Amino acid sequence: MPTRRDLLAGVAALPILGEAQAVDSEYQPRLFSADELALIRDLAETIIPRTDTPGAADAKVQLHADRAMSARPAEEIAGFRRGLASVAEGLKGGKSHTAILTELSAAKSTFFKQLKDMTIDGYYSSKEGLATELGWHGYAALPEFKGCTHDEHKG
Amino acid sequence: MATQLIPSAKVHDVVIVGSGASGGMAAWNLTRKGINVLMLDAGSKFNRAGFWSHVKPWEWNQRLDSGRKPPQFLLDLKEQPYEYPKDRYFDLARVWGRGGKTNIWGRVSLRYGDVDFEGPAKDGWEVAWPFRYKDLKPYYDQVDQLIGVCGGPEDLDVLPGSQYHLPPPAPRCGEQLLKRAAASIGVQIIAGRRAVLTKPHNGRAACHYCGACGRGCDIAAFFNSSDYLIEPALATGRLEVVDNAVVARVLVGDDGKANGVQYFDRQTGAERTVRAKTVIVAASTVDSTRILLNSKSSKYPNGIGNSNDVIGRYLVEQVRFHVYAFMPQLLNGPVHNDDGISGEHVYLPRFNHRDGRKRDYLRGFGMQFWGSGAVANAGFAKSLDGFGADFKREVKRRYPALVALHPYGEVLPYRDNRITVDGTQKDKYGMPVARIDFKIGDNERKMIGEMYDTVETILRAAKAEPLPYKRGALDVAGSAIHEHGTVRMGDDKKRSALNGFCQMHEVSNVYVVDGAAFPTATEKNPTLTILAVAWRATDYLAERLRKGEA
Repeated sequence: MPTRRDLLAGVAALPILGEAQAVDSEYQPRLFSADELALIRDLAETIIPRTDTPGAADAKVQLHADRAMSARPAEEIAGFRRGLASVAEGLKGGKSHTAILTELSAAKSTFFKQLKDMTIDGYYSSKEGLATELGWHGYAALPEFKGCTHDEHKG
Repeated sequence: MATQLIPSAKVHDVVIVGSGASGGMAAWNLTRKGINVLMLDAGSKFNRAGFWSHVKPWEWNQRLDSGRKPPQFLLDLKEQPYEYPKDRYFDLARVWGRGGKTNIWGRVSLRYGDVDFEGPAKDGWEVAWPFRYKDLKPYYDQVDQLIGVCGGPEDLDVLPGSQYHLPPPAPRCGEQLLKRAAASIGVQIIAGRRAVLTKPHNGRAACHYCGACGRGCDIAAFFNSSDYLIEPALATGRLEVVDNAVVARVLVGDDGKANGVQYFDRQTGAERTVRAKTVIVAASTVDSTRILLNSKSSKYPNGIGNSNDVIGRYLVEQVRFHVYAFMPQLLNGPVHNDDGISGEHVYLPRFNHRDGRKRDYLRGFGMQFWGSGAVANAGFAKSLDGFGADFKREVKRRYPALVALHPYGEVLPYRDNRITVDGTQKDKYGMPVARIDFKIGDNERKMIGEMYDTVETILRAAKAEPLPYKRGALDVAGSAIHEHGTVRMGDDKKRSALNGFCQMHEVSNVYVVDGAAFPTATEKNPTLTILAVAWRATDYLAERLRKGEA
């Protein structure tokens, strides 16, 4: 039976689309609903907000969360979804994202830890997080390696 | 070229099982001496042009999403499982295919010294090494010249120097600062030694510092057995390689000598045999041991060459753990491209034998520092509290200041740390799979205490702030991927399986040239020594063949 992945591979092979374009438009969430994705996006943005640099929503961390969580065992997925539902309840009750995450963080909740770890993984592996925010420009061919260039730190 | 069908009537002079560091060395050395060799490789050649060496993290995910797959180096456990006791996981990494693990290895290339070779004889723990540094030095010298090892000028009792080192890469800022901090408490951190070409060498291009070596090098600027040994051996016209040949047994004739090898075609499952006058087993420790133990016959009911019940026992690895910290001078500083040759540019050699104070444990530990500097993730952020704009700022502030400390300590050989094939689980060819039973003892637990003390003392001297860690915690058994010891060499034929030239005591035409032959683990990475030992062993074999002795 073809998986979604196989079908996506077919789409990617269409010659009309350049690689980056094809890739950018093609990740289709396989796990979360649109409402859940929107909630994950908003929570991730609360964890790593846009400042003078892009935030988690700019980096589409919710898609990373979908990709990562869909590889997890069913009971873990179910637990995470219960966490999302509980946050949704809190929001309906008038609490802010920040207030809810503050409570969850203080309670050392598993849901918060999962959410935060996925946000960190997703954001800091994205171009927005790793290159724009942190300034990483590696995996590039260089003519030489200079090492530490700070005189004050040399041995 | 690779062939798929070998007429079983032909008797090969030498059959080599495995194409990694030791098998590649055996093939290279024997063919250049005019000997015809057949190599059985459990996989096939990896396509260097298809390596994902320069793929950025965000491109990696996009590629996966579009259905593409990176080269699959690691053997899928579903294809070839192994067992371990329920409460004692052992992490086994295997690469089946041309060059084996050298395609993706860590490249740390450290000579063993007489502190290592004399250790067991001096402290009495298990069998002595059958040779000393002076015996191996010419081979280390040759290996350094052949493969290209960068490093500094230091010449230590635990880490003999080399006059053939290529220039070491400059240290990163964090490494410089750690070096200075360690020196302030009398601990020496020196230039690392790695099999990476920091300048063009033997016609090969130099490293271009892209830093993604663990995905395979797109230009082969670090040693791998396929490009550096097997291709030149093929060029002699005296090497034939059979792809996808998963070896099951060494076969034995009526005279008690090996006379061939049985294998299964990995793609079709077909069973085949090849005849041989000499068999060299070089499938890496666990697979070599599995093959030998499965080579049961009426003559050798306990596995070929194993009448003394040594093979499979004395499995050694290393204990290691990981502590991360931030160097205060580098917080909020500029972010450099710290990729370099990937992994550390410095090394902390064993020092615990130096102060004259007797320890309550035997042997020692060294330390590596891979993952220091600006790396391609911010995994450390998971250990920081909080969230929001302050959190984001804190991650950025710390990012250039990260250093990583990874001590590696020797695990003594214990009789009950062993590989067996007596379980009921069979592989897809019907052969019993390897079962690995490995645990550390009091000696290691005591050493781990000093390993933690050392990390903490260095970090205090550096005024570095560590990420939270749990003192005493270890990475999982097997994670160093330095398993060896299960077919050990020694002069005492009752307590060892091989002589100092990797030749079986009991079956003179079988050689085991990989890390399984080592009587001890040491705290150091073994590949350079595996190459030197395999070179020396095949010099000995070639001389015997020249004289007509099998």
